[in-house]
Amino acid sequence: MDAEVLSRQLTETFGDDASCVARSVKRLYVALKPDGLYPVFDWLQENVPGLRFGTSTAMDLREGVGVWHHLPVNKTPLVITLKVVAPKPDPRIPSLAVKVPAAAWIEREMTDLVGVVFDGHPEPHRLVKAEAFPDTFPLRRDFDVAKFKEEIGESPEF
Amino acid sequence: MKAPSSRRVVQIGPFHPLLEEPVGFALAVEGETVVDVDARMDYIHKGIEILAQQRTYDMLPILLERICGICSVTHSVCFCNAAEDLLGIDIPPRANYIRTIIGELERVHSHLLWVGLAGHFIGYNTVFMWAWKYREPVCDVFEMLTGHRQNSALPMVGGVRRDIPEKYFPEAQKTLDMVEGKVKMLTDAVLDDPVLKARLKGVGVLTPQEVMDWGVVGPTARASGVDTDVRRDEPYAAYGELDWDVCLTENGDVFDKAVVRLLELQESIKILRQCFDNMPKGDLNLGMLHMPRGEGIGRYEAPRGEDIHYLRSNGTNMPERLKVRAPSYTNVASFKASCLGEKISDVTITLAACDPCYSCTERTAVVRGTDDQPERTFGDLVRLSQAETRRVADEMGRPHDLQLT
Amino acid sequence: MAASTPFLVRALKKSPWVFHVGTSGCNNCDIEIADCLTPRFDVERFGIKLVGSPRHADVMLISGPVSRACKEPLQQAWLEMPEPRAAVMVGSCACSMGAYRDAYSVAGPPDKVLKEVDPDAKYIYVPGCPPKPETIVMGVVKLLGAL
Repeated sequence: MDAEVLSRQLTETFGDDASCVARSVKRLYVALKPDGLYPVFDWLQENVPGLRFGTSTAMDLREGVGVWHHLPVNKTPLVITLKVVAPKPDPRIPSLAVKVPAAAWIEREMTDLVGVVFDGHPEPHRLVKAEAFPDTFPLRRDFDVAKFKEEIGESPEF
Repeated sequence: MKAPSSRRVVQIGPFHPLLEEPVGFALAVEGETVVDVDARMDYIHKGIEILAQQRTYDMLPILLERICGICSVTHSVCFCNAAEDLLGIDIPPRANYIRTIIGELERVHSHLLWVGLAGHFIGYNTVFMWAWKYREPVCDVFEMLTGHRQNSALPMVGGVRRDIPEKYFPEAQKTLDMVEGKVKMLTDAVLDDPVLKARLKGVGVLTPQEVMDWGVVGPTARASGVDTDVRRDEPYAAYGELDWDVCLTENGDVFDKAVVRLLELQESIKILRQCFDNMPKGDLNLGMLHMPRGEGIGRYEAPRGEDIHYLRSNGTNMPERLKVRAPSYTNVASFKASCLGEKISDVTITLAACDPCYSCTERTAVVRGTDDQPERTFGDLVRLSQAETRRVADEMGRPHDLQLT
Repeated sequence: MAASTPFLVRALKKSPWVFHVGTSGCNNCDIEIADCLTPRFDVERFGIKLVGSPRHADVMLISGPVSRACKEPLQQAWLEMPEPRAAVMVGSCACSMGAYRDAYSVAGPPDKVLKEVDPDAKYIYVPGCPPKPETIVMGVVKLLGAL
């Protein structure tokens, strides 16, 4: 399936709720509102054969915390990226792990590193941060390694 | 993990007597059957995505080689794919062929390593010694061509850094001939061995539906009959011009995962031969490139499956965000599907079957919670063991008591 | 803790048993350590044997920087080893943190971590990323000579 064809179909079905940008025939970026994530994901699962969950990227943007879900499609070069931005200071996004179990680990990791909360996640405990690790989020922009080490009482150099 | 009564929790890790990295697994067991799996990944978390934001595009492939020792070509080439997707450029053909050669050499030595480890996990140390013995010449070829046994430091955005010397190609071809013969021997030995079949058939099965739900990739998915291979789906490097096949099997058990990898080894050797024979001449790279604002996604078929890198650039010479998703990340998470309902002794090989970048055996057993299970006496254990032997013998159509002659 | 008598040191040198700890490295060094056991290098012919528990071991092979979660398990494993004991830091990360020097989730290089619990810890550095198997074998041999 072509990115431009899929982009037209998505715009027909969802109108302004899904603003699509096809960067090339194999990369489609779809910007969504947080409550538009489930309907679009359900539609994609029904209409795109071979769609699977690849991974997600969380990043600290100026307007909020962005979560990009990357969905590759088997047997085609197409990768669909669903972009959701949650406003700070209390970023919350519906959890995709309810729909597809492959998203469970990466959502736990994003909660650890950027501090975005996934509503409805089945097991929302830590994955990559040690239990003793303080409650800071290393991928936030205001995180500073030297300051962090000073706060927990370590010298900045080994 | 909390243990309700009648369940025990067996902790695996973080350090185990085998060869790999620290990782913690908690298996909840009832009797000998595993009912739940939980993993702790914090032992190996190093925060390399944040380190990547402090390196320039020129330094990044060198850092990304250090994500995983055995997938060093994977991550650096995958990052270059992402950057080239962002830039929208094609790289010179000779660079494509060099990337293919180092990628396939890595696949050969990685699959041989897995075959050896899998043999080790089921107590078949002959396979371990053989596979690792034949892995050494492949590493030697890698060293001849690139100067290092694993970390080549060759890929860069827009091509490759250095050339590989063509005077070593005949020697490399000779090594490939030798390795191909040995791989065929190993394949025949595995396919024919009744003990391996009894041990591995029907263990750790992943159905195609589970593969899609858990996003499983690579040989682990192909063993379940799910047709996915980035080398064919989105041809990078020189794969679009070469003649090779995607290997598929049907059953999705550990035995089929081994078969897929052994067949892939032969395909890789076929690809390598074509590359050595048709190596084009020409430029190696496009020089230093300015990275504009934008985002790009790179994919690469690692020995373990699809690798995804997401790159976001803000126009400076360092990335704003680099997301790395190694194939093991989804394959390991699928243990929840493949391990449940298995016997605890089969879990080791089931965990190892997706070739995780670490693997584990039981080392420390911590028992928590109350125990409602009946105590088993020595006689009970003997009876259980005899029943199991009888079951296996029936399945294989052999007499219950093998006559020693 | 038992004192390390000359007799015990001599016995250790005859057949050092090694225990391998991978502390959050990239597993390349771990693979090269395993390579030492396979037919090409085969260190077992010198009596060097990889064992499954620190309680059976004389020499600890440490690879990788120490992550915060690994720090305590590593110190515990070190204290479980009987005296006389020694460590080999395999690879650049274990020697000097290598590429991970600025990472937030590492607690320090293994030598500093060991010194916290055992100020007399003896160890040798084997640099390289990763060191070749020959180098690792040579490192162990030099360590035995220095004991």
